[in-house]
Amino acid sequence: MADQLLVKVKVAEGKEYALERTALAWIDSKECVNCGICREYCPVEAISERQREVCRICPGCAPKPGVSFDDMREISANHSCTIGCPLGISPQGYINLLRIGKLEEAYKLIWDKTPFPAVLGRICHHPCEEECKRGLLMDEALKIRAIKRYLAEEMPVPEGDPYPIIHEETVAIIGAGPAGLSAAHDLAKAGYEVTVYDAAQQAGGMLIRGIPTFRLPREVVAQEVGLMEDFGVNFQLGEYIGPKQMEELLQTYDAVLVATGMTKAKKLNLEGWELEGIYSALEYMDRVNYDQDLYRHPGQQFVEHGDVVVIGGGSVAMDTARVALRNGAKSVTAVCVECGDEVPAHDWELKEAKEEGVVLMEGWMPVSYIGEQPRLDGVKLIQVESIQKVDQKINCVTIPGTEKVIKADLVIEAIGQKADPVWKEYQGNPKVYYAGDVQSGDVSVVNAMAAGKKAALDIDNALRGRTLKDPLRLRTISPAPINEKIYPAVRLKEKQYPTPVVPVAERILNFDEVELVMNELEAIAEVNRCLECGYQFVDPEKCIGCGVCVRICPVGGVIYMKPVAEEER
Amino acid sequence: MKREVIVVGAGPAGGTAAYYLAKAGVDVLLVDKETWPRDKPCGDGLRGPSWPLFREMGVMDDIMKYGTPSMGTLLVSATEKSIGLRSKPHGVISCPRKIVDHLVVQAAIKAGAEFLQNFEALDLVVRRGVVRGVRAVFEGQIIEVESDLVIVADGAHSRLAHQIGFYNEDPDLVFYGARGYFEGIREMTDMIEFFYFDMFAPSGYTWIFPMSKTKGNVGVFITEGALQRSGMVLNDLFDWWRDNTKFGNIRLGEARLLGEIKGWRLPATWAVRENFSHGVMVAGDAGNMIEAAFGGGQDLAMLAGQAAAETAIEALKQKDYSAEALGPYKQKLLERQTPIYNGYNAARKFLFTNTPDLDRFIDRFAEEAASRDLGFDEALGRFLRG
Repeated sequence: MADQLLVKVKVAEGKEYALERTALAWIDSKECVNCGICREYCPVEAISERQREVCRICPGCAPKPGVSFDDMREISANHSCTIGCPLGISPQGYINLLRIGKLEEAYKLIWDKTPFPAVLGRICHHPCEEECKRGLLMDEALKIRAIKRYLAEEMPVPEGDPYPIIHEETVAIIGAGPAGLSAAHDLAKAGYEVTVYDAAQQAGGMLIRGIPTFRLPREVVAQEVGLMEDFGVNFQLGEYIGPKQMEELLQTYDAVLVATGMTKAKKLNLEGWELEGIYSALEYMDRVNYDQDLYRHPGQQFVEHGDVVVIGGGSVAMDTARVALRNGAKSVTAVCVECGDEVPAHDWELKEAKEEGVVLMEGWMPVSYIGEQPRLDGVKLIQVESIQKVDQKINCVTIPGTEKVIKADLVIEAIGQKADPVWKEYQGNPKVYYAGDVQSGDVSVVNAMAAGKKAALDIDNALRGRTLKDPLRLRTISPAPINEKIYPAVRLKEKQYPTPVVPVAERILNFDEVELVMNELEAIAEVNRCLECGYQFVDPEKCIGCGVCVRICPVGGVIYMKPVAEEER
Repeated sequence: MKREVIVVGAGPAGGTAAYYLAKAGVDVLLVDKETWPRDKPCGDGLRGPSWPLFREMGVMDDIMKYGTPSMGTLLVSATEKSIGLRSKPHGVISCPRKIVDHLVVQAAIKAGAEFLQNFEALDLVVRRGVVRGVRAVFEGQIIEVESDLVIVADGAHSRLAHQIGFYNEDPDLVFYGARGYFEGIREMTDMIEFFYFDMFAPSGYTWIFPMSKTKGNVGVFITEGALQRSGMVLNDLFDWWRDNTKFGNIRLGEARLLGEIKGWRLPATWAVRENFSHGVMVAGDAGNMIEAAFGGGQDLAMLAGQAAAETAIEALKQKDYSAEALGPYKQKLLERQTPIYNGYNAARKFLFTNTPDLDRFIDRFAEEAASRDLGFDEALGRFLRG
């Protein structure tokens, strides 16, 4: 008996194998959907992603122009939706799991990384689509976000017990925004009891405070947060955490994650700041969302049919401009110092805002607010010649003599937010971790979520006394051999449907969602456009033949164990 | 319903195969993914070996009607020496592929072939190692059509040839071609013109196939390796040639592009390959049949289509569709294609890779070519013999 339990140690090529290596994993590149699960589970990092070359030499073969040979290689080898996602989700994975009818597996692939498939399916700024090789080289990028939303809508509750309590340590998270909730999800999945604190009555943070309902309905956030609660994350809502309460938390919990975001609005403090009707974007959204006193409510602080001026050209500026339109403004003008491609809002945000009637004044800077106390009448602007960005601060060179006044009954300053400085105090405390906007100053939802995941991994590593690698760091790509090349010439006939949206005339009358979910036909057509550029590859030098990858592959019939020849052992 | 033969792709190889099958009374389904007639980036030059086949199909008169016969070959070396070699009664016929391919398909239909367009073949149906039909998208549905034999002729980006491993990515044998129709070409001869450049040597050439006194099919032909060395985008080579060479400047200096420049992948070979398996034969670009000197493939594709049809007719008689029964396909290709490959490969050695040799060739025959009708084949033969 004892003999059989002895582990044989064999040395081959200078490496020690605990067991004799009798088989090697081999991945069928034609069947692999590139979800990357095997790579994350491989104990010896033997699996990596390969990216196929997309041929784009010939003019006239696809709508996008041909490129030089080196550019084709460079773009093919360095771009992939899978490295585009800050959360480490493989879009090619869930798209193709959906294509082969494995809906549950596709949903699980996303849910394993984030509790917010439906939220991200609506408001993610989709860096993956920017990396899509079909978009870069052939015609248009896949609508990955829309596919994710379709999937989220089709596939509700994950099964089993996703948040098992395994460990005795407990974690408190301050802030139920994107960063905090993502960290809560990952820590709960890792086996910790997690409690999330937030001063607001509803969980969601900026998802519900900052993003208007026509982009993200409250029910969607509530549903996905509700799922987390059902599975066992504790929520303490309506509880403000100040320095005193923080001391208590530090006593009670083994780790405290500060994910409080950027809750303070930056202000311009121009001459005339004291006039009525000048709000920060946060104040304005709070009034719309909670107080409701601006919503179709003339005569108070907001003048129905009045002229609204939004200061700023970012995502928040576009959101608030569109909210103002829905509140019955006669005209909405967004003023930003940047011009053209420099305007910080995403192209599609600008497009949607302009469609609805928002006027964008590029290259203008506000100088002062004009009016007769207490009434605001207009904003004085000056034209900008050039801008310089130094450490998130913008220095403008203006053109003297170009001043002009535009009419304004209401001004929304959407020039950014900052973190509450009170949280800086705990830096250096080994029990305290930071994540999200409070730390990075980044304002995108998906990047905040990524920061939450990173913090969760740090906390888990510290509490367990281990150093698990960030799965994002294993995410490297290398070029596939030439026989895997993809030819757009044979992929041109794939149909693409426009994303369904509510017509402009209808949507500016209410706060209902603008973008709609694809139907089955549209989703299938979109999924079939995927060029399947990537696949996972086993390095035979590194593989120890354990077979973990074969067992966890969600597709089946993709990974095989191939026997190692006697002489190679 | 099961068919006797499915021919995938209705270009020169597929169209010819379907014609000869239908003519022999075989139940043949010819399918193509495009809406016909369709444009195809090509030099549009029809060479001698394909003429007897056109005559048999009864389309030669139409080709002469729509096409322009050239009177020989003009070769211009990288050092800008030139020689014109005249052919009798005429040389390559220049006729847009949109017309030629359509005529061949019409001939096949007339002979009794069934033709389905917008039929996008996805993969071969393989059972027990034998090809048994084709899976395809047709009218928005995924369908499967069974057959005794499949002739794969779906072109340079062939999905089906890829599936069964008859696909070549050898960078030395993959070429890219791009062509545009130009009006206002100056000093064009009545011959097909080749302008070699050694800028990225060994590299390629620019061609002009005349369609009238001032209109022609202008194209570039370049190896994958040379294109990489050039660092250029394929269509920029037109501008490069115009701006950096004497002849380019004359020919294209005031020419106007009609429509747009279109390119295509050109998989070439030195010799006949193993292009058949159980229940399947591969013909044309799908089987890498372009010769690597001038990049001609339309005649070779038609010869392959004919050979595949003849082999299929025999196999259907014997009701044996194994690779062994299809062996004669390769034999026929060896007999009919090899002379073409050998001839052009010999030419390639000095045309492409060696400017001094081309200059010597020009120096040796220039006087003779000017004084009498010295054809390209004869001059080449004499040059190679020493």
